[in-house]
Amino acid sequence: MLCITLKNYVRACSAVSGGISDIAIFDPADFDFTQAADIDGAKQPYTAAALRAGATAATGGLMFLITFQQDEAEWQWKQSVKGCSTKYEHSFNFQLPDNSQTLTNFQAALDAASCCCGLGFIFRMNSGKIFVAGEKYVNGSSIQRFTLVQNGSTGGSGKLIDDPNVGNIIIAGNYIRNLNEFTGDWADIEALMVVVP
Amino acid sequence: MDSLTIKSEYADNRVAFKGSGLRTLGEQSQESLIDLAIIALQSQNKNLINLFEDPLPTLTELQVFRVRTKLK
Repeated sequence: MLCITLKNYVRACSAVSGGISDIAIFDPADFDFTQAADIDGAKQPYTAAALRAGATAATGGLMFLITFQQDEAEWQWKQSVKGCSTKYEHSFNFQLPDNSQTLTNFQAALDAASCCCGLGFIFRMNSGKIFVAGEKYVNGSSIQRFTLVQNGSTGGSGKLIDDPNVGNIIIAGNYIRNLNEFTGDWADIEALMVVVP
Repeated sequence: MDSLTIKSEYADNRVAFKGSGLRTLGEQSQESLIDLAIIALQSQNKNLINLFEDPLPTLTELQVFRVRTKLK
């Protein structure tokens, strides 16, 4: 207390599941996340997500769902520190079935985003928690740059008929902290995946 | 305060927040709009505050209004 105020990590005892249930990507320039003010010095989760001025669903301001192979998606993070400088290496690996023009086009879009503006990534874990990565705007203002890029993806045809014919996509980036949670439901995110008629 | 209203130019917009579902802002229930207004005030996110037609009441007034609305 005289030097630093620490925090408890206490949770009601219950089972918790691993793995990822759903993934969507977005252009970080399109969405503004809302975060309440700190409480007792603790950061709060994101409570809302909305299109920024100038971005419209009709012109592509959307969250884009990724239908990955079931049980083949994972978020990994690794914290390290040099002196007082803390780094979190975030990595998202997911397997997409069927090498095809669709996969080629999907990756071309990832490459363009990686080069130009980074990728926004939002996912729901099997535990039910939703996390956000690569976001750029919070409460209407830009935050420290959090750039996610496609880097290190692999894939191929396999040799046998029952070998996997897949792309193993890796999206990764370093940041100053672990990810913030989004407190809404996945259905609320799905609303941002469709164009209003 | 009788109700919260979204500005007409934002009625077709969608904002993702707990319970918003697939509805546009214009289709949200009064309870949902109160929740969104509370989120807007707690964060002081001007983009969210600006969605509403009239100046928002205080957080306390909104919380009272939410209870009254649920009891209706």
